[in-house]
Amino acid sequence: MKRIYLDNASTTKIDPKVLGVMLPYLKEKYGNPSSLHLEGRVARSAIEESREKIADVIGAEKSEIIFTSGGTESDNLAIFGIARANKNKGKHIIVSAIEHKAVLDSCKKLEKEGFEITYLPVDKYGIVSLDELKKKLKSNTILVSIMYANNEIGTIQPIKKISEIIKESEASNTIFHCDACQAVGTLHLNVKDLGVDALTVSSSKIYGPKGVGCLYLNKKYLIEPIIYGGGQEKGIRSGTENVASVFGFSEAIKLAEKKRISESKRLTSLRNYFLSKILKEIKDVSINGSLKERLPNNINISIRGVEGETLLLLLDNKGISCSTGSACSSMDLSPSHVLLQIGVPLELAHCGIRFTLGRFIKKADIDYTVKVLSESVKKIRNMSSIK
Amino acid sequence: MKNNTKNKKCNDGENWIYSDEVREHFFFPKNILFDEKKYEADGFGSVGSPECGDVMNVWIKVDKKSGRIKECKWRTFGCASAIASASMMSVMATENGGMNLKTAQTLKPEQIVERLGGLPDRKFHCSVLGHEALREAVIDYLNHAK
Amino acid sequence: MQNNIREFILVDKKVVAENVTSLYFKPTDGLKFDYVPGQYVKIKPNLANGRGKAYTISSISSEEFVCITVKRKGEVSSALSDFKIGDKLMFDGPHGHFYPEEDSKEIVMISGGIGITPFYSIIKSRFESQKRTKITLFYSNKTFKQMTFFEELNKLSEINPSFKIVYCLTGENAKNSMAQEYSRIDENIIKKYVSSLEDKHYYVCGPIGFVEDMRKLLLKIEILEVNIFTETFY
Repeated sequence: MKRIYLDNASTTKIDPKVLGVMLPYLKEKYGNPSSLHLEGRVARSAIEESREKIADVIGAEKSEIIFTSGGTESDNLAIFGIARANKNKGKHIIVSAIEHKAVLDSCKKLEKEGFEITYLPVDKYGIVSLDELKKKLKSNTILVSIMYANNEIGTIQPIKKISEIIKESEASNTIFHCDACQAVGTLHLNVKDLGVDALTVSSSKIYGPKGVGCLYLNKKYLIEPIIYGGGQEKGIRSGTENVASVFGFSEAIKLAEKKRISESKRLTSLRNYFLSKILKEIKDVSINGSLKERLPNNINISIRGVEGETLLLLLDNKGISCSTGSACSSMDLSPSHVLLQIGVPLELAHCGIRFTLGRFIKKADIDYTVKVLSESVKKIRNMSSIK
Repeated sequence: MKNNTKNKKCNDGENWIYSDEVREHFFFPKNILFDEKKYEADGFGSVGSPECGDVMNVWIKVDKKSGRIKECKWRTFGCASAIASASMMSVMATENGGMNLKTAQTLKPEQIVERLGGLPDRKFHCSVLGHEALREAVIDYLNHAK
Repeated sequence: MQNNIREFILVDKKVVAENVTSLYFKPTDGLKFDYVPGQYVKIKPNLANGRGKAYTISSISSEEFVCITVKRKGEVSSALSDFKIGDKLMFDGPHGHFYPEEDSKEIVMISGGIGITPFYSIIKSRFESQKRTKITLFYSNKTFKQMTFFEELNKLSEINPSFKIVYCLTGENAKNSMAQEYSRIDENIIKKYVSSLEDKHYYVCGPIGFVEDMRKLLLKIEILEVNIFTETFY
C-alpha cells in the first residue's frame, strides 16, 4: 500500500541527494577524523567542510559549530553546559513552558542542582508572554531558552523581539539559546538577525540522517561539556565523529535553505487547503495553536469525541501516518503538555491529532487523506460515548 | 485457549504490538450500540471520564427466567485497547448462552486481557474499565429488579 | 460510579519497610469517611493529569485516621512519599469491590509486595468483627526488608489461630529464617499449606505480572475461575 507520511515533525525521509553524498563515508572513506594518516585526513576534511557549510547557512563562524548526536543532545548541552559554566554569574534560568522535554527535563534536573528556573506561560496560541519575560529577567539570569517553532502546534515565537527584550533588560549578559529544530528549512535562520547566542539544529527534521545535529554557540561564551573523553570538538563534545551523518547533515541543511522560500510557500498553500477541507467535511473540529504565527506545514486539531490513538491507528491502517497528543498514546499516560499549557481542556487534549506535511507530499495525497479522515471520524463517532 | 506466551506482552518502552485478537476487535468491534435512544436496557453502567481519556458505557439485557445476560452493548471513547476491551468483554458476557449475573459481576480484567492475547502493561487499565463497566451494569439491573 | 471528592490533610507518616511509607490522613471537612476494607481512593497530588492514581486504604474504619501505604516507585508515589505533615490533597472515593462478601468460605490470600495493603485492612476488619473463618495468607516479597506489616501481621496471627501466614522470599536464601519458603509461590507451596483446594475463595493482589501468574497457577491446579478474585496494582 502506498504510504502517505504526514509526520515530518517527528522525523523525515532522507533526501536521495543527501544519501548520495553520505555513501562514500560509509564505504571507502571510513577513517577516524582524529587520525593523522590519509584515511583520517580525508575524514577530517569532510567534518570541517560540513562545519563550514552549516555555519554559512546560519550566519555563524565555523568555530562556533559543535556537532552532537542530535537535537536532544544539543539541547542538553546548551542547558547543562551553559548553566554550569556560567553559574558564578548567577543561577537563574528562564524557559518557556512549552519547550521540548529535552529542555524542560534538563531544567528540572538543574533545579535539583540549586538553579532557579522560571517557566514562562504561553497564551492560547502558544506565544510566550513577553510581559512575564520582562518581569522575570534579573541580574542573576544567565540563560534564556525559547524554541523558535513548537513541534506540536507549530507556533512561531517572536525570537527577535525576545532578543531585544533581553538586551534592554538588567540581564543584558544573559545567553539566549533557541531550539530551532522545527524551524530549519522553513523560517529565516540567521543567528545575527535573530539575535540568538546559541541555537540547536537537528538533522533528522530536515531530510538528513538521524543521530546527528549541532549546537551553535557564540564564541564569546563559555560552555562545559556533558560528554568527556577524547577531546573532540575542542573538548566540548568528545567522541569519534559520525562522519557520514555529519556530512549528510551539512548537505541536508544546504538543500533545505536553498528550497526554503519555495517550500514554505508550497507547504503553506497545501496546509491551508488541507485545513479548509477538514473543516468543511468534519464537524466539531477545533484548531490548536495560532493560525497566523504557525509553521507552514503544521496542522494540529482536536476532533470532539474522537480519541487520538484510535484515529491514528485507523489512518495508519489506510496508509496514512500522523501523530497524536492523547494520553493513551504516550508511554507515561500523560497528555501533551503543550496542549495543556495553551489551555486545551483535557477532554480535547485526548482528541488531539497532528499532521505535519513535507517535501514529498502532493495535493492528491491531501485529498485522499481528507477522505479517509472523514470516514474514520464517522466510524469512531458511531461508537463513541461522547457526543 | 491459545498459548500466548510468545509476544503476549509488550515491554514498556516499545511500541504497541497488536495481537491478532486486539486487531480484530479494534477494526471490527462487536456489539456497538448505534442507537441509544431506541434501546431498552435492563441495566446500564458507565465508567471513566472524558478528562481521563476513557469513557465506557455498557447496556445489558437480562433473561429474567435464566438470569443470564442475553445482550451486552457498549459505546466507548478511548484508545484502541479500550475499544478492543469493551468489544471482547461484550462477547464474553453473551457467548455460550450468556453469563449469569454473578459471573458477570466478577469477570476479571485478567480474563479480558487473556482473551485479547495480551495487552501492554500500560494498557491494563483498559481491561479494568471493561470489568468495571459490566459490573456497574449488572449492579444497576439488580438495583432496579428489587 | 460516583465521584466523591473531598480534601484530606496529612497528620502523620511512618516508614514501614524499604521504600514503603504509611501516610495517615483525615478529612478537612471534619465529616466521617466511610469505607469497606479492601477499597481504594484515587489521588491527584498535583493536577497534571485527569487520571488519578489509585491507592488501597490499609486502615479500617475504626482506626482514627485514614491510612494509605505507598511504595516509592514512580512520580506520584514519590511525591506522596515526600509529603509533609500538613500537606493536603483530594481523595476521590472510596471505590472498589475487593473484599469477601461471603463469610462461610475459607479464604486464601495471595499477596505480592505492596499488594498486602487490602489484605491487611480486610484481616484487621474481620478479626475486629470476630469472624472466625480460616484465612491462609501467602505473602511474597523479594527481600525481608521489603516486607510491609511483618510484625503487625505476626501479631494478628498470634492472637487469631484461624489466621496462618506463609512468607515467601524470592531474593534471599534460607539462612535468613524469617520466612517459611524461599522461592516464588508455586503449585507445591500452595498444596503444602492449603488442604482441599476446591471449596475455598482465592484472593490475589499485587502488580500486573504477579496477579496474572498467580491466576494462571490457580487455574492450573483446577481452582474454578468463579472462586478467584483479583485486584491488580498498575
